[in-house]
Amino acid sequence: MLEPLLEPLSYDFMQRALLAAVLMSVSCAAISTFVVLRGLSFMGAGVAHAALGGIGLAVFVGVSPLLGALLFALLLAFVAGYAGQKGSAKRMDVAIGVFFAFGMALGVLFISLLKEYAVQFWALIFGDILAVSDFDLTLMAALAVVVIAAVTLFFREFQAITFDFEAALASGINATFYHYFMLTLIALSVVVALKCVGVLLVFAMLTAPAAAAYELSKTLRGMLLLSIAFALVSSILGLLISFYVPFATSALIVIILSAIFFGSLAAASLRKH
Amino acid sequence: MSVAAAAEAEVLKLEEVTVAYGDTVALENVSFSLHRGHFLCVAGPNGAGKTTLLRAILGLLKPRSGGIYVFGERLTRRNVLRMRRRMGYVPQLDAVERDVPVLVEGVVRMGFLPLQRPPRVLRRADVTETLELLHIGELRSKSFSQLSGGQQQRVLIARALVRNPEILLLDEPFSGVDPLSQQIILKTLHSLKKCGTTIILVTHDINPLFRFADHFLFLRRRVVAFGDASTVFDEDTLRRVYGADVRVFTADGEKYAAIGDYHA
Repeated sequence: MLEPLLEPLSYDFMQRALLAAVLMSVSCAAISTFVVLRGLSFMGAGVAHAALGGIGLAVFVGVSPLLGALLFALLLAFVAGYAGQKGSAKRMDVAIGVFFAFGMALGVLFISLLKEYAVQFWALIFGDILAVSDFDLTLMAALAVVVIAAVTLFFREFQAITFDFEAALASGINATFYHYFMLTLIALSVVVALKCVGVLLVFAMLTAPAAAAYELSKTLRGMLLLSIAFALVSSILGLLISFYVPFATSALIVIILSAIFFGSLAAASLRKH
Repeated sequence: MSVAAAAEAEVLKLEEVTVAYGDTVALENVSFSLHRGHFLCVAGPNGAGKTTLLRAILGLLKPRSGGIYVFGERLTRRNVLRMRRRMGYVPQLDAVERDVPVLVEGVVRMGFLPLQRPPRVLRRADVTETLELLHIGELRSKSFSQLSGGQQQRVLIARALVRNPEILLLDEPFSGVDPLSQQIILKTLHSLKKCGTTIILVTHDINPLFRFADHFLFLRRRVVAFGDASTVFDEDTLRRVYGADVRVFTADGEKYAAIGDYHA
């Protein structure tokens, strides 16, 4: 009975894809809890698109595209964090918006300079979870470990700055540090997810799991665990379905995740009535 | 009392403090000092600089000029985190993200956070004790977002009290709060004051404070008046603070102020 589930996993490329999906699900869903509650979703979208500049640059000079993406994602996190600190949240949005477009423009510019078709570039726009290299997997695992360890260790600090930033600062927590730290973790999670779902769909991984879990949770810890569960179910299910039917894996993952989100909205509204 | 003992008892001193947001001056040349166990009520109209004053004392805003001394030390970038850990701050209820799913107990525990490093030892007894002080012990496992405004305010006060602060700062703790909660909060503050906690409470409605506060600071960007109720509580001073018609009534031996829309 379990054969349809186990058979795909006898292939090496599927085993790697499964590991990538798990790494992405846990790190993105964990940080998505804070992205949703702190209203940082535009930051997530901005990081993903800005990363394109780094991807273009990396492809152009011939190094791993994920390294370029990592560089640009971190740059955006700090620029946005700084702009947000120096002014209103509006300025943070403006800084993200500018960097968002600047990164994409750079990416397109570098790719237009190449003579041949840039496979690696397009793979990261739409995601290519079935072709994860050893290097990609190692980098993703390292980043995911950082994200998961940080969220576990500093969960209470993150909770405090999410609930009441100024009071956290006033109580003697170095809230500014934790704010930048959180932005950095968002950037790292985006890089983990790029190879799996691509620049255009990363946004879903950073918002939908937590948004779905929010409707059904009483505590932040519960919301975090439930969003990880939702992300795992959709990415593993999406991966398995795509083994049997010729649909793009990244699209399947996001469609299942969206369905879970709408399902939880419906469940929450039924419960209220 | 020796000079040293007097300096020790002086927990807060502001000397000619001026705070500005860009070109807009929010506080100008503010000076006053408080000792252990003083209860200061800070009042004034909207935009008088009340919240700015609290933020400056917490080191969240750097004065353009003048000095703030907490526990005898001048507040600097180097000692600000250490000083904040000896204070408790209750912000306006509106400043809190009430959508964040968190239990009452979780909110109170946030008060401990800067005092401990992970892995943290949980002190359940302290949480229970503090909640019971504010008559909300039974709400411990309830969701913060489902409480009434008055209950939420009491939880925020518990969060500040659980760390046994030497100075407690409260920003408009009675706005959106029911009369019962207000009474409980005032009684709690009264017993804290007796135990030596210095309290600074910002409000636009001074009436409930007459019986409880021993010092009043009337602000209108500058200090209009500072002193105990008998020296600052008269129609002339209040008129200068609020710039409106003010009447002071006495009922049952207690004074009440009617500002702007009284009916004589």
